[in-house]
Amino acid sequence: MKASFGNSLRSQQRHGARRLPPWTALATMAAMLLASLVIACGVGAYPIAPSTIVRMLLQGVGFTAGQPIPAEQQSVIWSIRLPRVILGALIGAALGVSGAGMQALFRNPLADPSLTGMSGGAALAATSVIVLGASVAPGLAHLLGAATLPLAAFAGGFAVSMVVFRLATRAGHTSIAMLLLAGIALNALAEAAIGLFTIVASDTQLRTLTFWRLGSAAGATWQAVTVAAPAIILASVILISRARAYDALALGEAEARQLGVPVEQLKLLTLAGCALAAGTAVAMSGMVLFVGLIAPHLVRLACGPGHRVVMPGAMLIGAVLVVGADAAARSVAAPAELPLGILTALFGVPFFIALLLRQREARSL
Amino acid sequence: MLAANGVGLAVDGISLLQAISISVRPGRLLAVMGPNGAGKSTLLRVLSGDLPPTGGEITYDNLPLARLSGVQRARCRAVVQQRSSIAYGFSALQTVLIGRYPHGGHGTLRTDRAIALRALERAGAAEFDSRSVETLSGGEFARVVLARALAQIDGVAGSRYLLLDEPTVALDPAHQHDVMRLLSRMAHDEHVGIFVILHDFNLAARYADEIMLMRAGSVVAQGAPNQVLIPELIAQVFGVEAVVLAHPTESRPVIVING
Repeated sequence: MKASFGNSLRSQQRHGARRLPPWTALATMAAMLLASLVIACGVGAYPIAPSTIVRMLLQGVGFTAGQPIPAEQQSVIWSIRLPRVILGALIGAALGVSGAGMQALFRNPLADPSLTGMSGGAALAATSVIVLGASVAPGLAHLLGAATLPLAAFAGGFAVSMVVFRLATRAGHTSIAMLLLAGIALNALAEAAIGLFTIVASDTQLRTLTFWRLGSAAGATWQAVTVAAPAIILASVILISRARAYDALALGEAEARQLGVPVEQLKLLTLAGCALAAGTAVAMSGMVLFVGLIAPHLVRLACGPGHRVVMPGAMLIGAVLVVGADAAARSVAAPAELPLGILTALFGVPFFIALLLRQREARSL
Repeated sequence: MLAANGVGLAVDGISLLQAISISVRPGRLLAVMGPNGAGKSTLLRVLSGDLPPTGGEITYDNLPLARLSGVQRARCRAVVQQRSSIAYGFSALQTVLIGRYPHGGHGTLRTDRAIALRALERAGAAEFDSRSVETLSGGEFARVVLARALAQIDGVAGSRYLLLDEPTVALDPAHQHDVMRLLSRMAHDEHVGIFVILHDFNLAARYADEIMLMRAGSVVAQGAPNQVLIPELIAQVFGVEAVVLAHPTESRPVIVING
């Protein structure tokens, strides 16, 4: 029997990482998310102190907490900040959990919805709806209403990831190099098609297309939150409930099958769950890169690789990352705003290269 | 009894296994030997349900394998593959706990943990239970993989089977004998049916109740070690000249290969 340690981050363990117990870790992450939500509500061109926000939230749910809040601050928080940070948290949760799902499925920490073409496919489907939807199938778009974009993005992401998965998998073995290369190819195709749409797009459509390319949560409304939340929560529940099967899959496809895991069904379910989460995120905020790559990795560093922690943890940490990045996007160049996707890429690229170097050290790429 | 009845397998028109009929009986250790490419590992995959045969039938206690669900199969037979790996830095204990997957929802986490620790102990891997498998040597990892298989069928009522593909290959001589002694104990004391692919004649002669010789996808001979490990059969199956001696203190053959 040969033990091969491909697909692994060796140095992570070489130093004998001290790990947090699962429930402590998840509670800590949830607390971090709560804190980031409160702080992010106050950040921006019109700053509001965190204590005011906490007071207002308490008053909002019926407590009498200190003196009343000025109406101006109330309206900034309720109608601008709160939907935006909540949408940011949903997007981050979706990207984090789908990144963890992809990494579990491909047994490799380099998998991510944006690198494997899933986000590109979702963005292409969403843009084609924006540009062509009203003229090609107005009745259908009207029927689906606000869910049109997320549904189209889900379908696009799912279709592209199925193609990438087929290309990268041979005889039950998924080549990570093939996966990333196929992802590049399909991303390029999606990018080209989106470029083509810019030619036929009207001026207002063109503005929306720019928004897709850079990624932003600036369009947040309560309506967007109510559309995104059910889809993202459903996808997260699906993916998190498969945690034990993902642990088994880490042993290999044949081994997982021998343990009684319905592997083919698990693959489809995982790709569908990831496409639903990542597709909805893309429909809401465009291309926010690298969150799906970073979040699961941070959780593994702190708590080890067990998926019963990695899956919900990546969801929480992804939310913290996007809420934080969006707060930074609103405040670094205030009153102007930076696109969210640019900020996450600035942090994500060095991180991705560090992961690549580790894999090169483990000679598994 | 785990039985193959006239099992054949052809992939892309190439016949890999031809009309193989064997039975793995609880309480018996069956060693399978043969040159590279004889179809030993393929037969193991067919017996485990990993590859559906293109002819014949596999039965577990007279039930057709095809009718058992993945979890039902996993509860009565565990497989140790030749090449094992695990993604991410799972600890040895976590790796063994994954073997409890088919019992999910039945045992509590604490009983699973006790089972996993005992499996590590039995496989001689207790000392590195909390270490990441990425830091283990090939031989140490092999013992963790064996422990995972032991944990998988621990506490199962009814017939249990272990299918192992060269479990001793990465091990030093002391651990080779430890593993074979463990398998033999599991067969004789715990009534597990064991199908193990081996390359070492003397390990097979020492521990197997029965040896099966395979060549080119067919069974050439099957029987007790001193019936099967004879110069004529070894020459016919492996193409090497062997001298068979009597062991000075035990009633089993000692095989010396002359090349």
